[in-house]
Amino acid sequence: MSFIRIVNEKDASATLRQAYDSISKLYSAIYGQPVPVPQVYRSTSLLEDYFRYCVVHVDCTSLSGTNSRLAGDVPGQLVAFAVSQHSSCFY
Amino acid sequence: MIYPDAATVAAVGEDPQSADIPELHKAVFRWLEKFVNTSWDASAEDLEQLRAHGASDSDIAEMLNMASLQVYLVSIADAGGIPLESELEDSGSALSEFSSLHRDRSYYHDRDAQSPQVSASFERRLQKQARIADAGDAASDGWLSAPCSGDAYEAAATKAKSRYGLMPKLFSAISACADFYPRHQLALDLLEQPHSTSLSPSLHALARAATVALDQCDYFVPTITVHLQHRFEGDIQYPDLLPEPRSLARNDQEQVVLAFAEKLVRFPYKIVDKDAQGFRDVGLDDAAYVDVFNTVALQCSLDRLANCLGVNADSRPLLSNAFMAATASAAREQTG
Repeated sequence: MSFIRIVNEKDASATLRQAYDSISKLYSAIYGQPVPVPQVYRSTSLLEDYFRYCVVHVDCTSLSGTNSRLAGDVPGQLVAFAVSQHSSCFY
Repeated sequence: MIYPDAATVAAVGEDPQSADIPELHKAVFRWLEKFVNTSWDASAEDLEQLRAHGASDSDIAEMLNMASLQVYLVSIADAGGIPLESELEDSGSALSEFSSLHRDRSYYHDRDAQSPQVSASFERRLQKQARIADAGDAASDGWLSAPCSGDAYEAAATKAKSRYGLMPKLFSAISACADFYPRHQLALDLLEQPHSTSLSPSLHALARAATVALDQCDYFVPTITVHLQHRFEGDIQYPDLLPEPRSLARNDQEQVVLAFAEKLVRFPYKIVDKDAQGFRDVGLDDAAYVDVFNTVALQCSLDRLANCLGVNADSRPLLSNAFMAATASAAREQTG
């Protein structure tokens, strides 16, 4: 259970729902299958300005849904994992 | 997949230095430990270590960008207390190959990690500032080669110059990987003010300033100095925040915000639901809590990026012309 109130898709305003759709579409494009918005972004759903930031965050990270960041000598996903590990982050 | 089998993934999860993975990957893990925990101690030598294992400056710029963004994600994950995808039924989530390593919060809450000694590192930072001053401008533009060209760079420069009258050194320093400019610019835009009606501009400025102080990020000191001046009219100045920001809290709300900012910067994995309740207890609602943790998370992500790029501060604060005009107007009213 999250520490604060979360606004999920079904309770979202039109603009917030649009942001949800955008993030989901980006992840779905990355993985080639329908993917709901990951839990981590929902923590910011109370404030639309930050949730819309998350759309830009995912768009940049994934190069608009075209890059899973799994390729290359040091894949971006490996960097992400290393940061999580050193941050002792459960996510 | 990055690694060929589950056993390698598990080994990396336990101790990357002992796992059967490329030496470059091990070097990256060592470097990112500094990025996360002691970025103020970063040096050009750290990047030489990566280059020695075959990383190009373009690779390093991409790694720095990804690390910066992940700092934001781990911060909001811990602060929000959201469940793991694996804890939800039928989540249909996209899982990475590392997802099987995810532990629940209690695994990390019981850890007794040592926070870097702030006062000692503050002394080292002063020494670093002295070295930079001795080296002159040659050391001010970062430790990566920066092509400063291309469509993405030019678009970012146009936008930045309209806001600040210059292209920030932070942006130029990562021009070898220009994918992330829209994110970094938006982060700077968001950091200028609160985004909830329940968090006052002064509390927001305190959260931001405390983060920069705790990250010991010299790059943002001029920005924070002006930001605090605008909000506190000299009553609180940046040096007052060092080395313990919460020591200058003047009321319950400042105490809660500063203590939370410190926890989120230093020990995010120890955040529990009582931290959010602490906000409510002093009259700050969930929106204010989200505002504070996003402010800290965004600032943290930029602080560590700047520290590990080795950039010196710009010739003016990274506050928009609109913000600066409002600051000047307020100052004139005060003296008028």
